[in-house]
Amino acid sequence: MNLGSRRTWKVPRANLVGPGAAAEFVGVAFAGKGQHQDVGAEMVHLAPRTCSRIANHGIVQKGGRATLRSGIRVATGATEVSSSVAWSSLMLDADSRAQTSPSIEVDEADAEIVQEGTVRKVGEEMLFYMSSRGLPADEATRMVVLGIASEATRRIPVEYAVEVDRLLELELEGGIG
Amino acid sequence: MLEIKNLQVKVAGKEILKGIDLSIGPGEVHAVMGPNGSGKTTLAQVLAGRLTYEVTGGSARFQGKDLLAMKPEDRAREGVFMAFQYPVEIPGVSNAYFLKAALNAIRKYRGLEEIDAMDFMGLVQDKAKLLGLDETFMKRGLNEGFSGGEKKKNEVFQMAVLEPKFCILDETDSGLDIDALRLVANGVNTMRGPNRSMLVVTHYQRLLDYVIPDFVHVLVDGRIVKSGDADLARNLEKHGYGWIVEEAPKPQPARA
Repeated sequence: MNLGSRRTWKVPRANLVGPGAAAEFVGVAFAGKGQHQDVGAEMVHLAPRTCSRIANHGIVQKGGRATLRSGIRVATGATEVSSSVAWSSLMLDADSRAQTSPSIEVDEADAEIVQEGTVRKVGEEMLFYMSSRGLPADEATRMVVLGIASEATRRIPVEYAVEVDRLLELELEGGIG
Repeated sequence: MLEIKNLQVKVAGKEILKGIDLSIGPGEVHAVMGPNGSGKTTLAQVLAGRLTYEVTGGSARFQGKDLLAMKPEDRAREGVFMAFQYPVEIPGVSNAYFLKAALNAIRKYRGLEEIDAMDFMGLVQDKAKLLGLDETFMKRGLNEGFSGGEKKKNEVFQMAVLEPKFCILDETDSGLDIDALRLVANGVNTMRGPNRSMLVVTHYQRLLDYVIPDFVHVLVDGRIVKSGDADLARNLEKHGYGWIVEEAPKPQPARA
């Protein structure tokens, strides 16, 4: 979970050394005015039958920028590896930017690597849909952002998740920074 | 309930609706049919409050209030509901959470207390049964990864929970197989009543075999060119739109 600070660069790496080892990274980055979130993860498969997953979500508003990184490396001898990378970017306005920087390096032919990505705008259509059910635009935007973040927040203890949701709400209102 | 007078609408600078007159009384079900590009969806969306559509003339009054001056959320709170032709996916926001928030926003506006979680679950289970939806459905993300049919069922399900006074169904029958169509039609029919009106927008007679309209209007090139009862829809199914287009009076060119 990445919030605040002008420039964040955070790309943790997992080395999968033991046969059958598994690693997962789920990240949510929020970039507001003047902020650049450059985040992601690297997975290095060094042993057979290892598997990894990266889920990386970026939310940008008010000119904020997100770079979503992912690196998958499958070393010689690491057979039957499976790995999936998913990223999504949510743009709250047209002034903001989101980009991805994926890299895949595979030395074993039987590795299964899946990559998918989406860019969504909290666009006119999304807001119209939600407002046509009685919800005002700010409430609708809040819901969409917390929905994206929920892939990460639902895995952490509820006390912490509540705090993260609150921080995201403050970011949206422009209460921080 | 709804009075539309000479409604004219532009979308992206292009004139789509060229003067619609339509009066819908309490409890009435009106069908609007017409070929592709005739303005059916525009009419539905402009009534629900789509802001990118520019109203250039005319009026629409809902229960005596100026509908076109209201924000979309206020229209919903007043009791207008549109079942979307293409419902939007909102990942990570559960159906239950969204629907509860929507219901409470509407209740608050009407001066009612927020519904508590137990009552809400009870209400939702009753309505879900009506449409043959199972329990896992409520926990899934709003329209996230739903099939076309599930999305359409969800629209009618939301409608059943929110209990609007005026329902707009925008091509709710498209993308439904025959079993799903029956379930959806059954859901819609259950909601018919003396105080609830409906505007059913559709290409085909199909849905109207189950949801029998009181009135049928044919929209061609932004104008209602013919109105009638349910028989008109059956005639259209047999003979197509061609004969009406030819029969319709040609718009007179404006004098210089």
